[in-house]
Amino acid sequence: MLKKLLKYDLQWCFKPLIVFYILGIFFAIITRVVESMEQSLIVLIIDKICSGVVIAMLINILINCFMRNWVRFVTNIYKDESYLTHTLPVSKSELYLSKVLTAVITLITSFVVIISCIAISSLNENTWNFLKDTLEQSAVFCNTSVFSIVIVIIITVFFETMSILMSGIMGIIIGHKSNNLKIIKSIIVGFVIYIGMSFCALGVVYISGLLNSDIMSLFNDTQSTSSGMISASKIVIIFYAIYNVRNLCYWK
Amino acid sequence: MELVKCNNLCKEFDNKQILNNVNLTIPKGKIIGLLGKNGMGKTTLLKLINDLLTPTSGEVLINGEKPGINSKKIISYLPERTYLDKSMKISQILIFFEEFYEDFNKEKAIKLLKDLDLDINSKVSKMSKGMQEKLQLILVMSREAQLYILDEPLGGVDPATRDYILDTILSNFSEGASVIISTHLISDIERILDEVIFIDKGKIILTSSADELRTKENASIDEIFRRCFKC
Repeated sequence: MLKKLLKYDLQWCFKPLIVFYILGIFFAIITRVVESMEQSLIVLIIDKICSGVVIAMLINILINCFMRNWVRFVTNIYKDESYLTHTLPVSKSELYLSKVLTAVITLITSFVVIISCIAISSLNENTWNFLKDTLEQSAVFCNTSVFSIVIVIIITVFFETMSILMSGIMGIIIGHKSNNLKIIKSIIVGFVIYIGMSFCALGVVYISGLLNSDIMSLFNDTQSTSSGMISASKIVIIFYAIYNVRNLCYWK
Repeated sequence: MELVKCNNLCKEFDNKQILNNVNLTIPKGKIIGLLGKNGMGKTTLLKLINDLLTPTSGEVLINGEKPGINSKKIISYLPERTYLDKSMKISQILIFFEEFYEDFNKEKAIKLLKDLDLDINSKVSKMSKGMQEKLQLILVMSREAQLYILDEPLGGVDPATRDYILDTILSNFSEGASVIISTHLISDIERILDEVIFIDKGKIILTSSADELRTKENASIDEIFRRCFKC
């Protein structure tokens, strides 16, 4: 049943997202083509317009990804459609798990498209070298490999955006427990949860710093140590992983 | 054996008692009218049977089990709201029902849709509210369920459509199944009822066979209802 639920949730969420994916990739290719043309004032203006459109599309993809998941959750679980959703012969945990998996899948797909669009429109020898140098310097500073740095960045960004999405859903759940002003309460509670969780993450890193001087150097010094950075990142990743798992258990 | 059994069922909202110690048995193979004025707890009772609400105290048993996945497999529920995804086409909704409900009879649904001249390729958002309600009724009655729960199926529809709805209910519920119809429009449904349940201020005040009640009181159910619920 989870597969069937997931199929319908994904269909609903991807419907408008695919349009933005196609538009984003299309304008990224156009930007690339324009950049490769012989430079003139007109070409420069077109190039800037295309770059602007690509950025707008990428922001659109990210916002739509969040909004579609939140709107789907509200309409399916709390609005009129909930009469159908809650009378389907499926367990409540399957129902919520389908929403979470949909959020994860749409988020990953959106990230892949965003990174692809940026690569198509802006990646050339100069930007590639700049990226490579930055990553290599970070790897040397952190005393690790470039691959590890990339993985840590991907996981951190993924957890951060997942925590925005989950905070929104938690806000919806708590906001809809009251009898009036449900949407406003959902937004406020979601925002408070997100800010609260960010401060909690910082607090956990600080408490860890009391036991680890390298981590504490992030708070005391402008010149922090590489091991401090790595340890702090690990703690934040673990914290967000626990937070997201706890959310899943709460819904179940 | 009873299909639904409510034992000392109570439901409160914000310290307001909506259902008060309801004890009720729904047998198999009957059409039952759940009759009461607006706001007397009819919809709350139906939502509890459908696992859409949790009782404050007491219990609901469906085929001897608490409401859950198994009860949802055998109950076909028509709520008072339109619950379909407006972005879907009728054909997609038919597939949706077929995928989730093992007892859904797609051929029957297509036949009923044809009788209504409804194009299965049309989108729900393009249909009027009345047509959406008819579509929902067709979907609900196309299941070979053991219990059909219809909450205000006649609410807000013209008399001609009421006849269509009642005929659809009568000619499409599966053999041996029970139907619970909640309404305050008694005169329209009286002719099809086997049993009646009167509910007032969250309490069951009368449970009887429709024929026995008519003979005993020498009046129609509608008249008895008006007498019972006189303001």
